[in-house]
Amino acid sequence: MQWHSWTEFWEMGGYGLYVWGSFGATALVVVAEIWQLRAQRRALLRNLLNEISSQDETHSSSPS
Amino acid sequence: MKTRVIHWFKFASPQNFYGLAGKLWPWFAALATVLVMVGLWISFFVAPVDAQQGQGYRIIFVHVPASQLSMLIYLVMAAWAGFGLAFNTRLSGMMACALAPTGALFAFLSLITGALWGKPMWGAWWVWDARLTSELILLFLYLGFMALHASIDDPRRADKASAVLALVGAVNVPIIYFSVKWWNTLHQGASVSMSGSSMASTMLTGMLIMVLAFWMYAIAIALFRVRNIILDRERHTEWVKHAVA
Repeated sequence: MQWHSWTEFWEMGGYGLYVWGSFGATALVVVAEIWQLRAQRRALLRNLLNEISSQDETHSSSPS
Repeated sequence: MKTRVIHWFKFASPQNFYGLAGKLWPWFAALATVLVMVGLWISFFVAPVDAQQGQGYRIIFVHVPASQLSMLIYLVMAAWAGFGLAFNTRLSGMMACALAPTGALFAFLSLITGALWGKPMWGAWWVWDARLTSELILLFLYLGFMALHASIDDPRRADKASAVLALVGAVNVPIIYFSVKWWNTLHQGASVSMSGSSMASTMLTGMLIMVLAFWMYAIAIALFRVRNIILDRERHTEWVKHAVA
């Protein structure tokens, strides 16, 4: 084990800002990318379903 | 003898690839999750402190994977783009577009983590060094690819134009890779080469596991994104209506 206490772990031998900044930035980018893609997929599916249902309505309401 | 023929070109159709990608991405995502957890454990609890850089060297566990992936993804993206130009397959352009944003993010992370590493070790966030400058150009190539694609309304024409940009830009990747050899740079040379490694074995293991984890993440995210792109571009087709209804 490398660490004797949590404080020592967070301080990273004086490099805390740089080490945690790097890992934090990476984690942030990954989470943001996943979140953005899921939101995009939800929006795409919503729009597609709206399009389909509006087409169905115009078909059924048009006089035959 | 029974031979099984796999019809690879079957998956060149966006419709078939949509289903395949949907089945595959959760596996890659699961692999990425497991590898990241193991990799982080080694990064912080197993790998010893570095003799020269103290605990600060631990940035290597995200900096190297992000940098490597930013170059590798570019080559894969350019290959898909070239494939699209040669065979005129629709999926190729979609794959190239699915890879570009992730590659750009990794190039960005490579520069950010590099700056956070450079400040304590070199005393500067940024220097106009061959390695750093060519990596910055890589980020601009990704952004240029995406901007060019977005600026052309017809997606098939956009695929062709941006494919040319991707292929021409590919010349930058070997420049980044060999920059530390070709020029006298502040950036350190490769720690791992064909002839062996200059790192402690647990450091090396941790780094390789993190690289593998980033690979799996990139594959999972590209498969997920290509499904979005397929849905968007094929939204007026019957199969999409059946697939989402």
